[in-house]
Amino acid sequence: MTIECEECLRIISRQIDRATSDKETQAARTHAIKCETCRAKFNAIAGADRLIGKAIHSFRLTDGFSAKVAEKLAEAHLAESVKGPPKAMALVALGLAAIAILLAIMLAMRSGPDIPSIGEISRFEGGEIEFSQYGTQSFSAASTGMEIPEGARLQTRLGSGIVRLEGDRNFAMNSETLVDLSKYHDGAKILLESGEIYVFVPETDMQVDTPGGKIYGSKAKFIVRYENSGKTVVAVKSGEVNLFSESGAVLLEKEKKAEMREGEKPGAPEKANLDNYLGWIRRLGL
Amino acid sequence: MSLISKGLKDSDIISQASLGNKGAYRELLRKYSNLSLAVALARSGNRDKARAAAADAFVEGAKELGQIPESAPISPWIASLTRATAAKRMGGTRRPSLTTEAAEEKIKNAIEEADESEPMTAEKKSELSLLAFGALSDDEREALCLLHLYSNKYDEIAAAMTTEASRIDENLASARNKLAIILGPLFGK
Repeated sequence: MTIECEECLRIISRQIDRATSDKETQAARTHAIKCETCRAKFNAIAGADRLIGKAIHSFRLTDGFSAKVAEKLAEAHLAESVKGPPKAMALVALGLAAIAILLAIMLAMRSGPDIPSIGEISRFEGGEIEFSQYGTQSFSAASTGMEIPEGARLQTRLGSGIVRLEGDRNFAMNSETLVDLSKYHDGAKILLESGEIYVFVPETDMQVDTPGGKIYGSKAKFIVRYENSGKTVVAVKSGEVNLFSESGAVLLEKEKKAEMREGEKPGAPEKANLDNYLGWIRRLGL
Repeated sequence: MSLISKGLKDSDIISQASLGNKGAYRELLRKYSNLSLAVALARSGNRDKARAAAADAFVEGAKELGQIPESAPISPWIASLTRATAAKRMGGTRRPSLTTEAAEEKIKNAIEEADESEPMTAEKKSELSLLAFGALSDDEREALCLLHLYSNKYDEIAAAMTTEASRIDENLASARNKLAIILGPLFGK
């Protein structure tokens, strides 16, 4: 399969949306090896897409929008009432007004004042995250920039993605992660309630608590998995990580793993086969 | 649990909403408000006007709930309502269009006017990248906004725009090619 520049550019566009077949990707690569213009275009197109994606994404709506619609529906009902609508229309309007009032009450209870942000979803593989404040939000593969409000609890429902927190602290969530960020300002801690996260803090530090203990990493990359059986597993890709429980502590170095359970001393470090842990993380390009 | 996760189809949600089910209407808003915003943003290029037009579309939509045929898809209906409300908000005027060269020139001028001793903020870059929107066609802008705000599936975007997925592919490739030229000077700033 050989292609021309025009087709190559179209494949590059589809690649950004992960909508290409292996055959197309290979054809574009083969073409780009020979064509300097298309090689340069690839970087320019990807860069421009990131910029425009971030700009568009900053417009994303939150609950304030629903409140505005509810308010407008109520206004529309009042206007109809003044005109004196026919009986059938009055019933419809009454129904709409009831929806509007209920929506307004519900949203007033939920939204409150503006909540400060503590970070953002910096990348997502496409899917859904449930925010404790905003409800379920869908993300496309290209979407970035959704702010994370202070005190958020995030549950990934589909897909995997990267969260960038203030203070240059990052972690990746997979499709089964539930993480509570309400203590983030208290010593940069986050609480992993279930599933797996990959923390990467090459320049800073971060603490991850699980119901089984505390994990502290400085200038490190590490995986924390909390299983429903009560077991916490930590594996270190780079740097050093400390594990603490009420009964003791253990230092984990690069390519080592250890387990811990509530009330027990963390287990001894063992050699970690990181390939068992890093599949979904590699798909995120980390 | 949401209505969607209970497995209700869009037509069920519409019929529930038209009967006054507040959860159903909320589900419609949750599922389609960013689609509406994407269409409005593509038409107006302005945050406040886009939000107002999207809200107008849902108000107009609430009045028409009982008239939607059972099998009709919702996304093109909401997109079409939004195009109309956005046009109304724009007062019948079209957003100014630019050639790729003119947009590139604007970006270059803005960079020259910026303080060179300071790195450009993310907000400033976002603001400038939206300038480039003026060089795209309505369909290119709409496809791009829907991609980033509504769905990354070309067939879902095509359904909202009542066209073929191959047209979306063309529109996105063409939009990205223009944006790469226009926004090139911003890289590394």
